Amino acid sequence: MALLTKRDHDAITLLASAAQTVTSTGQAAVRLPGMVQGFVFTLDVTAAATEAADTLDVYVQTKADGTNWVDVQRFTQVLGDGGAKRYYAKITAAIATAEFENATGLGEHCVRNLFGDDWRVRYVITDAGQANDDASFTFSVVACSM
Amino acid sequence: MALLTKRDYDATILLASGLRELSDSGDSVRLPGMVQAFVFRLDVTVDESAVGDKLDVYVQTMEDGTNWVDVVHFVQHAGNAGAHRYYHKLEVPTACVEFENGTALAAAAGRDLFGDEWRVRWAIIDGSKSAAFTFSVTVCPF
Repeated sequence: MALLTKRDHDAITLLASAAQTVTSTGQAAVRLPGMVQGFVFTLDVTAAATEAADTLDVYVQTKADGTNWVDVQRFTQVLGDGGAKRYYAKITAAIATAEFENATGLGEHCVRNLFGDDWRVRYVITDAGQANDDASFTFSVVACSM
Repeated sequence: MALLTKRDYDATILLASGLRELSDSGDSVRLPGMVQAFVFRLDVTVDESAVGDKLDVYVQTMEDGTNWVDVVHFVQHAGNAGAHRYYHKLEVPTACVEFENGTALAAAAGRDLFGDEWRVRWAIIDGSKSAAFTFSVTVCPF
């Protein structure tokens, strides 16, 4: 039997685009397809036009025990005056992840290849407060399964 | 039980063969999902160009329903190189280090990302004022 052409778009919005000014410890949980081989996460920053020292760190989290969230992807830190940028990151089911303790911070552009039941985005916004307390980043996160 | 003989051809044309003189991109194509890998083949059949002309061919995919991202950059084809066929493989189980979209993908490099749609784009540098390349791109899943 010939392989079936993919007919649907599997891209799912984890976090809709909006201007964010303060840190979020966790947005709404999203269900993604199960039993997949990997996910590509796209962080699309469409506006970052304040101060260079303002920063945005975006994380993707999953829930592997039904209760607790764990960071599995941390994107490159976005600077306040960095302008529009798009980042792509991949987590892969077939790649090993060394044991870690949950309090161990995940470094920039690092990944843990873990797939849980729920997914969400959290982010940390730091306002340098140099000229103004005006940190603002407009961004979205999309997941695409493969 | 013996393994079943594959009875169908899964190779799909991403970009039909044609003579091209300017940079452009092809139409969006849907490919099978939930595969292990794709092998992309660039077939340059006629090269009527001169030294100094260059052809760069890229495969792009769409991960977010909106934006195209380069995932394959074939070896740069020189204007007087003649007919050549190039193969490039992308694998789902292979890691891909995070990158920013503005970071150029080097020649002969790939990013193991699989999105919802696919297309080919190409850049032609016309050093001789007569650059013309005939080429096609196909893909086969496995």
